[in-house]
Amino acid sequence: MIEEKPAVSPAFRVASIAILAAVTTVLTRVVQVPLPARGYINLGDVAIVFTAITLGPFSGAISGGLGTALADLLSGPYAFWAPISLVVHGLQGLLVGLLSRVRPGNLGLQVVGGIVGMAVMAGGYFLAGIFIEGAGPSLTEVPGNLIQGGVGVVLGILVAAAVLRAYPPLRQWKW
Amino acid sequence: MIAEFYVPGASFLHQWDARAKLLFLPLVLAAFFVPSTPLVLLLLTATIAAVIAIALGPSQLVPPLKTLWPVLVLITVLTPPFHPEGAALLRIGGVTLLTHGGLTTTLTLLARFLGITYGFFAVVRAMSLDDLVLGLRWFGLPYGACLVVTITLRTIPALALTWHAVRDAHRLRAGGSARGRPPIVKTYVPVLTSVMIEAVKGIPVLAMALESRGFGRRNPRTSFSGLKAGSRLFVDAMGLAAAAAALLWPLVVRW
Amino acid sequence: MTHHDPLLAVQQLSFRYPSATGAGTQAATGPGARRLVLDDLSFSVRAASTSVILGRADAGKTTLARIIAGLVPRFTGGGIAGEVRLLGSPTRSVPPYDLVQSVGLVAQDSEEQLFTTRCDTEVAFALESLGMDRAVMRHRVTQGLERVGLAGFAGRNPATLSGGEKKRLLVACLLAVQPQLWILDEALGELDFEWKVRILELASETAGATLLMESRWSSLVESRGTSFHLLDEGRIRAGPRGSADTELLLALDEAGIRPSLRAAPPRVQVAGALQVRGVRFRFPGEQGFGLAVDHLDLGFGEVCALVGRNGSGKSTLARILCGLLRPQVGSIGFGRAASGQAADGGEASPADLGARIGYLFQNPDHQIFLPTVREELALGLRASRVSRAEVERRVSQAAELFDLADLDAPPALLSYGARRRLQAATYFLLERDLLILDEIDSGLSYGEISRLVDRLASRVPGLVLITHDLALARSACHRVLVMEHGRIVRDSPAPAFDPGAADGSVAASGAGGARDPGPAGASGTVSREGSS
Repeated sequence: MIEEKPAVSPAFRVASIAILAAVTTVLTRVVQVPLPARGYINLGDVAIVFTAITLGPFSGAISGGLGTALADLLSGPYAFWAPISLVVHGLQGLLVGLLSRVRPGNLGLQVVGGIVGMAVMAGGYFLAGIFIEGAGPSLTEVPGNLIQGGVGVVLGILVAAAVLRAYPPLRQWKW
Repeated sequence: MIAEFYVPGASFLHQWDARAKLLFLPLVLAAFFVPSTPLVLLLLTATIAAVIAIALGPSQLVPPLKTLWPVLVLITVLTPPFHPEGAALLRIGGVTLLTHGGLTTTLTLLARFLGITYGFFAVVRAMSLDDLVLGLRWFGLPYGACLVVTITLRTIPALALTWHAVRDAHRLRAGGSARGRPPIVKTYVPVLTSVMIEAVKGIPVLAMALESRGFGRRNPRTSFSGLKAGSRLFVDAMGLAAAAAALLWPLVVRW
Repeated sequence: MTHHDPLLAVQQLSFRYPSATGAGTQAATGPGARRLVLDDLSFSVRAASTSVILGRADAGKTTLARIIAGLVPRFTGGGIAGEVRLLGSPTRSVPPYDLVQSVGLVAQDSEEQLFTTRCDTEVAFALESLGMDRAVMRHRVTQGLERVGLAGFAGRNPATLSGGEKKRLLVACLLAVQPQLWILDEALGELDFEWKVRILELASETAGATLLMESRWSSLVESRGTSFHLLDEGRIRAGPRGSADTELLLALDEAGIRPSLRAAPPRVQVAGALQVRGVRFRFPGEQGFGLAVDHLDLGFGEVCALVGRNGSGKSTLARILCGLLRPQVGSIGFGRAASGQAADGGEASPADLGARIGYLFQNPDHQIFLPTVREELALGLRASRVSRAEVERRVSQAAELFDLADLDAPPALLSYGARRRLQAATYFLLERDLLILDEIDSGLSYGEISRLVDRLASRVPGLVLITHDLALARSACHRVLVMEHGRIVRDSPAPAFDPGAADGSVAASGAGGARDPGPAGASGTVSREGSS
């Protein structure tokens, strides 16, 4: 009997990026989580952190950027943020993925990666916002983004760990 | 959840070729960042708003305002204090609240923000994302990337349904609606885990479907659908060039 | 390859999936050995035939179909031995994209195979991969859609199609490519009876050979199949046989594939009922009330079938009963059975309903998130004040009752049938008063459904089975409710319910068609075995 390993062919890569981008979009648009103190946050960052930890930096970057950009385009009024989201969340996914890859499975690295990603995300939106809304208004959005990013890191790491335990084949799909 | 902000129609905006619409976007961005006076920018914004009103109906001007008015207020309130240059325009009790420089900057930012919002909004309303992908393909985006976007668009509604079903299933298993505000982690981690497992399980299955239909073959792919070329494209290209000229003339003048 | 060579020849094929935890020996037996899904399996399919492989839900039919199409173990990993020859050439190391014109597969779940945003691009996708000329593609796409009755659907988004229409779209994809071998893996389930016939006709007209995988015996399968095989425990146990072969039929009965439905479990004398009074419901944006139920008592102690075509309101009613949806008008409450106009138990809030009524989704994956079967079963119990030892005991008892052999297996990797049983087992342990099972008949054989219902009925007083299968409704339940356009149009005791005379609208949907005399009719007997 010959033992074969799953093939990570181009079709597999297309499928994984597309599905996780769709998850990112759905968690950004459809899910509104009420926070005790203020308003609502979305869970898009959970998907980005999850993808980056489980499938790697490349997947995390592309599906994170694409997913959030599509969420912006589908919203209407926020459409012009799409190119910015593409870059900012793409960087976030890339950084979380790269840092978690240094030593796979290491929780500390995942947390560090998550925080770095979150900082880059909030910072990226802030910088872009300076030109579009002015420094003042852009600054007021930073706390919200940080909270959202923080929730994303915590939940993303927890869910990644849970899914890797509950669905073992995922462990083999790194690329 | 419909994965589309696009609403089909027959306006001139709809009939504009997708490639022209795609080029319009960076043009809008450029136009609002070219050094210019607030008056010009406000005129630009007004023009774009007028285009929306004529092509899509005046009611379409409301949604962006409804969503974004807090930002507009923030810009109005927070900008002047940081830009105290120029002659004072408003003084109350010895405190300068608004200066000429402040007014200029505020108006510029307002016009820019609103103008860009409306510009993108108009395009997204009048162009289906399928056409957007076709347009990007024409501009040279590799087939694999276009396929990814198409599949993502196709998967979004199904995943939204999955999310709601999973939430319901977990809630029922826990015995009906939770009393009070449930802790975020305890509620959402199981739901997110189930959703992620279902999503991730779909990856090899989707890859199977793609390869069963020939994705990955070495021969060149042909294309079933494509944007129409020909005279229409030429007209639209001319129209776009005219628009570019109109939007960017301050730059030209300065030069 | 001569005229008499089989189109498809499978020889001594063995396969097992990769070990769940990455451990597990290479040995075939002993501790840690992984189960052989296919064990030295051999069979062949002749040209111009419609071969049928029958097997229980988890027998390995889909795995076999995917191996033939070159998809497994390519995308799943695993251990494989043996040979598959299609049109004379071995396919084991050929990537699926080079087999496009040799084999075409339609899966049971159409969601798996539809990935574009327009029907015409969906059909054209494979043709684009083959590098076909655009004019030829347009012709084939139009023709393909026409032949499956989707002529005007070119620009429609496949997501907006009904279940049956999606299946037809997938068949159109096959028609455009015209592969030699068609494999329909339980693919006909959502189609109306006329379309099932039509698709099989199209297959025999255009394909070199057709291979059907089915988990249930029906008169349609009997009439259109030319040779039959039974797949059980990894091997072909019977066949190829003709349809009237008694040995085959006996083997099918044993495997639970023929509808030898047991009688419904005995009625339990339990006082209490779920009472629905004057309920009206509409979804946001709808005009008028889509659902209206004036007076309905679901007694605890009876097994009730809820039948109706897709869109008749079965799932909506179910969701209202368990508190997921709140009706705009009317009330639902708990009271004594068969009482008068007003619900004497008082109105129950959605939270109360959720605490006592359970709803088993058609997709058991919606609630699975833990790494082992044991943890899934124990989840609800841990919250209540039950000792650890007691939790263990109950979990083991439930696992045994529902045939969940390995408590440490990851639920996400279990077969569909096992996941469904796990779902049932978790609700069994939660001790609800009434359980609603959605689409119980998809993917499970009659034998399994009967066992599941028996097990649940032993502890859960009330059961509601939502199903398309009218024969199942009549034999396995005490009472049948027929829904149409959001209203209950018939409410009769099961023995008095005649599937043949059911409204055309009900009968035309799902597995049991009106013109399909029903599996019970074919052999004339519904065996009455006691519960084992």
